[in-house]
Amino acid sequence: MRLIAWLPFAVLSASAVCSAATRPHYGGTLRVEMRAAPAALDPAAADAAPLASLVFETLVRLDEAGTPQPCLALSWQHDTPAKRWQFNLRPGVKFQDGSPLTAAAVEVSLQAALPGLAIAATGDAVIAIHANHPLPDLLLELAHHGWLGTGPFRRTAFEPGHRATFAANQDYWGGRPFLDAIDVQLGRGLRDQLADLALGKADVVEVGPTDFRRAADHGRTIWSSAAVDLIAMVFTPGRAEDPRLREALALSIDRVAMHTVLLQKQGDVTAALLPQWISGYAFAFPTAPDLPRARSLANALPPASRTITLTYDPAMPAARSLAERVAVNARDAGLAVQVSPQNPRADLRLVEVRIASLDPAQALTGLAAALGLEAPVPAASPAALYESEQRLLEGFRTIPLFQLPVLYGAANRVHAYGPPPITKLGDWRFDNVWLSGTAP
Amino acid sequence: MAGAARDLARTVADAVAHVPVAVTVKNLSTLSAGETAEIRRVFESELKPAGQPAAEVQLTISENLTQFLLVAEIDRHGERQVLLESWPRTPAPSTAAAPDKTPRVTLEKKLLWEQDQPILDAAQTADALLVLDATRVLLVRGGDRQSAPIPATHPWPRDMRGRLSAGNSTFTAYLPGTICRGSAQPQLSLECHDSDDPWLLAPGAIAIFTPDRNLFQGHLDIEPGGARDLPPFYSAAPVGDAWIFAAADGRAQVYTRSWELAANIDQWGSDIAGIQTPCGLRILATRSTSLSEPDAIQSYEIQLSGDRPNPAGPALDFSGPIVALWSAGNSATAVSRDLQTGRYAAYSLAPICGS
Repeated sequence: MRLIAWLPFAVLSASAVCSAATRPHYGGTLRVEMRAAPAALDPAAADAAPLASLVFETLVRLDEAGTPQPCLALSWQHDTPAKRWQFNLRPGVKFQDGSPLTAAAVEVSLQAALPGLAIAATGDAVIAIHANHPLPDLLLELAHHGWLGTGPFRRTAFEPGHRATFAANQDYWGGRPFLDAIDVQLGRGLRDQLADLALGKADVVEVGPTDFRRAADHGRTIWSSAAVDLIAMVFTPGRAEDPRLREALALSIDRVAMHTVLLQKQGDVTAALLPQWISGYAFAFPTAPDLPRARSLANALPPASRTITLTYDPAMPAARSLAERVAVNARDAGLAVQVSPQNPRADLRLVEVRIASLDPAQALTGLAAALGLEAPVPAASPAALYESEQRLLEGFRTIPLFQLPVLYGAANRVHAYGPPPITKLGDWRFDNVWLSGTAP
Repeated sequence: MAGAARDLARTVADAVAHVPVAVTVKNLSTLSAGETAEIRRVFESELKPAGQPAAEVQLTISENLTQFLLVAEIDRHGERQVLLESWPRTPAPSTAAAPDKTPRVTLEKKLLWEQDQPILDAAQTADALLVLDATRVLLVRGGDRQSAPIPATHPWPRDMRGRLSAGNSTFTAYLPGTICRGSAQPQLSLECHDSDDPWLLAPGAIAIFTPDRNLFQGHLDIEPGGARDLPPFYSAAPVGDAWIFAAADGRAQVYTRSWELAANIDQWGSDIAGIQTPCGLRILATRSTSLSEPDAIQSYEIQLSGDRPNPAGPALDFSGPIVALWSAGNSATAVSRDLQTGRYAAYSLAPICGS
């Protein structure tokens, strides 16, 4: 057999662009930029959650449907009233320093995270959790508490507010990540991030709703969470005490126009705290403006009470244009809204709050805490949860506006193996990301 | 579903003091038109909306991650009230991928086995089928099923690979950092141990597989010729005295028998396999696509007089990505993941000459 005839093709292909293989490559450093500038790698802090998800794990994790799945616990069982639980740890798991995960280590972590429960290690691989009352939501609790440093990456450096770097955990129980390292620039503005992506200085950046189409038009891969960022207006406690003022403002807002023009139809308009995909009933909170009623309410106010100040964080996407549009809508109702960025004495704040759980009741509890509302009444059914959410919104102290997804733009050399690299909640799953053009 | 509709209708009837109502129905859920119609029928039959409507009810069928919801928005004299009922969602049963019944020209596809867990390879002994996945070797002999567990003594790579080499009754399973040897007769038996021993590439050719990754290191031993060090590769196929390697840089590389790089091929995927057929040698290659897209296997007849490898016939399409492709002598074994069902199916691929 002669092979000399292959040579002309060899010459032809020498200048051809190397195409990506179907199998993922190992190696390389993923360069990521993010807006948040967390001061610590704290899994409980909302701004550090994406970073922490690279390093820390829990006994249980929730799948995309919100169903608990094994993570560091491989299996579990409980008695009929769900007061006594037993968790069997996954064998062969190591901390990032190489030491084995033991039941004793889990016990220490859980005791700190879930005070009030009797938690005990039984042998090396079993954890028992007891209470004198039923614990029907224990799995959901364990999906969000008791973090352990067994994740697919280990932290190699952390400069608070500036930079965090991570290296692959060679012994990760789920298989070594494809990437060698991740380098995260913290506190980068959205415009800088987009410029860095375009210039090839970054591989993965956050994309604001107004930049979505520009990024997509440039052929970048867009990764998206579900609609998890609640954009809302929150009245400062002790301010705007007349409920007619708050209701008049709420009824003056034309969410659909803002959504279409300012947010380029990203996400959903809402008058609810929980997004429709989590609650199933968000549409039942009316979003349409009612200008006649808003005017009627505003006209009934003393003229001096018809003026309020609205503040926003300039780093929040589209915040200024949203705030200014609120002022325009309010003026149509006879209210004067003065927009003032970063004003700690403002009557009203435009805020962005991320949902932290796929469980509707836990998500509502988290939102209420983040918005400074009272803790919602525990609810076991959608009907009870609806009533609970309705009570939180009574009095218009919080005015939900939009639910937005978290969007990321990825360079062409970035690929995902298996599940999407961004979960529904916006957490990172970069252990399945790989880079083409890297040496294996 | 019907129970929730009935319960909600009764609650609504109480809320409107049993006056006639006008009902409109909207479906925001994944329930079918038939199910929507059934909900409407049950809801309206409970309300008995006869006479001049004194209230309006907007009934919306909705859903969240775990439940279906019925939401009744009642408007009576300008007063608005919202009532809800719900019932759990049950996961849709997965439907098995139907085997391809229309084998066509060059390659005939025969379904060997399907399962939920990723299949790494499948091989046939004299009277049984062996299926390898990351946790077990499964033996299928008629209606008999036996399985032998594979102990996981170290973390498997996340792009897991494995290969079966079977004789009439004995077999070897190659896994990253592990070798298992077993017998299919009289009962399935299996013995595994950690090992960096090379994997069998082809008769007379062995290569070292990187234990914690998804590719061969590039060190191989071929008879005749002896040991060679090449760039890392995902798969390889002999072409007479020459070899083709699906290299880690995304290109297939052709080496002459004197181990000179003769050509690069840009359009192939990571998995290739050589099969010997009565009508000549064929190379099977996957496409250079994403693992989230349907793939196809194309046979190539190696004509050394041309300047490109020529497709030998139409590509054989799969409903999902090809996750494994291994030579089995006169045929090949391919494993595909169905993108609709998520299940894995192992196929035997045999060329039909002259079709």
